[in-house]
Amino acid sequence: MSEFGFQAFPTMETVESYAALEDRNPISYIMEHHQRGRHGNGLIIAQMTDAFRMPVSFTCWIYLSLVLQAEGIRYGVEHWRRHMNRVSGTLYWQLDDCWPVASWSSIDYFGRWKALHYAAQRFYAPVLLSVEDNPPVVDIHISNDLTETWEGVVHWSLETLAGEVVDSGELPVTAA
Amino acid sequence: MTELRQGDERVSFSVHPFVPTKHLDLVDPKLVVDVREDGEQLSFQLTSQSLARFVELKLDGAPEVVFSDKYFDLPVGRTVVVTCPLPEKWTETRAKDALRVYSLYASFAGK
Repeated sequence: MSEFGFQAFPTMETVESYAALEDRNPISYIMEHHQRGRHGNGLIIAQMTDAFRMPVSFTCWIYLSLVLQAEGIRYGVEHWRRHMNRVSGTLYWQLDDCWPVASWSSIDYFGRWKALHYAAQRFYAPVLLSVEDNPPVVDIHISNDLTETWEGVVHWSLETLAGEVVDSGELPVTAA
Repeated sequence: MTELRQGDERVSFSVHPFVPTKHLDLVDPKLVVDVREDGEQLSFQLTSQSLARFVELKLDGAPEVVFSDKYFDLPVGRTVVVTCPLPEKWTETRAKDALRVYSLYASFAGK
């Protein structure tokens, strides 16, 4: 699977290199000039409001767009890695940018890592832990892309946001 | 919350909420960061008082710095250690002053 992606804005410091203080609104002329996807901002807003609460500032908008891109690609790659028999490799679009712009890249024009590039380190780890939600069932998966068998332990816990453990368990894992 | 372990090492962990993230009643995670300089490297040990999602670290004035990890979840009772190279001519004190840490909570609560 290749050439799939989702846009994010570049990091805030990179946005600051092309947008003056008065231009720091996602829909300003300058910001739209640095967004070449015809429906780019609309898609970002639609997906963002599916997942997150409205950001309270332009800086928070940039942060959320970065997180949204990372989460979207993580979700897809984890799914495909759980189904290696159907999709035995993925390559997201795209690595980097040729100018400072909202884009599908995981590294921006100045070489600064977007959230996606950090997430890629995790979702492309040779041994991947992922959780599949099939309500009311939650499945824990281990995907092993090493040439040798991996052995370890998976520990799960049902916790409140404050960290109170409601239930927990542990299972040995052998992933070929 | 799931964790993958091999011996004493935590290989990876994953937070899986049962509702869309926008409906999680996140509160201020009151992140605590212990910053240390170790030769030419900075290390940041992070803990949280409540679940923090998508934790972002920045060093003001050094946007090119690549951290060992960013935008990770931090549940209560776990410690995450992140490292980065010490920017040229920086000291531990300057790094502590320049450090900015955000999480998802700040994006809608504004603090």
